[in-house]
Amino acid sequence: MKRYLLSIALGLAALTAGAQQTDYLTLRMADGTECSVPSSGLTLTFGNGQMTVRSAQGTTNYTLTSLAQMWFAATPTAISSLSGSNAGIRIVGGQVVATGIAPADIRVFTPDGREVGQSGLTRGLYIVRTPQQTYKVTAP
Amino acid sequence: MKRLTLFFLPTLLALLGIPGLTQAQVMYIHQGHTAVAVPMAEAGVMNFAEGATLTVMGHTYTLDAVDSVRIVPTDAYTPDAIAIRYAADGAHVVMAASLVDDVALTIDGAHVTAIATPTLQREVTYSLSGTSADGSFAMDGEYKATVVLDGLTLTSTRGAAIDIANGKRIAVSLPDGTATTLTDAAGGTQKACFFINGHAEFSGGGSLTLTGRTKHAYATDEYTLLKADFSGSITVLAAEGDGMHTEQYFRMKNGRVTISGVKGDGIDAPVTNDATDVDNGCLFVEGGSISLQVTADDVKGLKCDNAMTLTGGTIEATVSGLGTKGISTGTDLLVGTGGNGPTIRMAVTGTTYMPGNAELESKCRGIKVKGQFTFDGGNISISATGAKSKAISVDGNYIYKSGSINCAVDAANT
Repeated sequence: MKRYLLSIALGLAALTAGAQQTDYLTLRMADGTECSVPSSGLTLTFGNGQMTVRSAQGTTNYTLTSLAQMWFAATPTAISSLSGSNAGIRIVGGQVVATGIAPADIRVFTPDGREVGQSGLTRGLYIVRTPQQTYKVTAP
Repeated sequence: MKRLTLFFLPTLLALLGIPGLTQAQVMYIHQGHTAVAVPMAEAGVMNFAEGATLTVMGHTYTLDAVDSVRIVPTDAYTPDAIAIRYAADGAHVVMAASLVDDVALTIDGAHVTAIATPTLQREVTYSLSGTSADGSFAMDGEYKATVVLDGLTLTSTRGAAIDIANGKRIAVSLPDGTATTLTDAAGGTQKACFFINGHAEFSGGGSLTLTGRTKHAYATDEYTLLKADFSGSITVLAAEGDGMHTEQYFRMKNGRVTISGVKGDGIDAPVTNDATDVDNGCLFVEGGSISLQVTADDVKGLKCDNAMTLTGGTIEATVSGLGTKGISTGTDLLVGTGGNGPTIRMAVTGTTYMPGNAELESKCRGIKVKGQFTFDGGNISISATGAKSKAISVDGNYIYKSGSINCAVDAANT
């Protein structure tokens, strides 16, 4: 009996896996910013240089020239822009400066996914990942 | 072993993607009356370019031409499939993304043309449904294909209702419980209301009703086979030519064929131009039922250029036209085999066509055999009451082995 219940559970897990991998539509902008929206019932329309995304969560417009890529994913993107309360991470003089976070816990990536060091960072956008969150940080 | 199978069966079924057990969610890219169905799990990274295009699975869409992108997680994706739904506002087409670069679609109101590239070597399934009083479907390709007539009512004012130029094997499916009715244009140049250049194989339990207003109701340039799993029906209401004109051969294993109102033959199986074609000019009935009303003058109910073999099923005919034949063979006729055979019932009331004309005079016959007639099973019941008519006329010899027959056989040796 236990074996049969286990096999049924495994089957159900496989059944739902296919559905879950496309639960979100993630948009990547030209500047590396990403955002995700639940894919179920989503409608995208195009006109006047805009892409309009309509979902149960509401309607959002994106300038077409700001869009780079989109894909379906099982989970929403964790990348977000720095907000005032999360200003503990910044890049000063090419060096990542983090308040209250050990350097060993910090990883830095370029927008195309290459991992780089925490110093010698040239001007541009970087993705800084900590155990708690991922940030988009601009090096001046 | 049984326990192992049961242990892994649900997982295996899910991984294999058995329909109904897995969901391949679909994203539709709508452009006018066409939608491309994209399997979301296979879409991958979709690239925007310069705010003007979007590339999905290798195909680039111009965003100005895209009406919308719609995600329907409850829909299932079927690869290599094209669904055409006819409606009052024209034809609406859903095409699998796997075909978008291999099948060129043209939609003109409710007239749809699908041309597959010669390099496409996968079977495409075309499903047709809906209703149009002015529409048609034309298809071509270099690989075998399937056409599903899924409850379609189509009248064409331009030519054939369905014109398949594809010269390969065309599987024609009539799903159980569906009814399809096709009517073509009058005064056209088409060969038939429903024409297939290749060879057709019918399956399913649905019904197909045909009217041929220019020539034949149904025609194929190679054989037509009604398969053993064909439990449906083909009905010809009227035709300017034959009811069913199937070159090479006609073979019926099951199903029901009803033909009336035709000005030509009921079912005609002439030879092709290729002498190497198998069973060229032959006709076979192994099961099912055929009902023929042969009312036009100097025509045949069942006709073939070579041998006819009737080993099962039921054939019923009313033969009332002048000089008509219920059954006419170019060479031999074999009815029954090993003591088993069909039931053949005919009422022959027609008289002579063009009496006194040395070239054209033709007398009415239930069965006319130009070769040898062998009877080895079954039941033949023919009444011939028309003046100078005969139940069975055989140019060659009559060989009786078994079966019951209630009429005279006029043969060289009788």
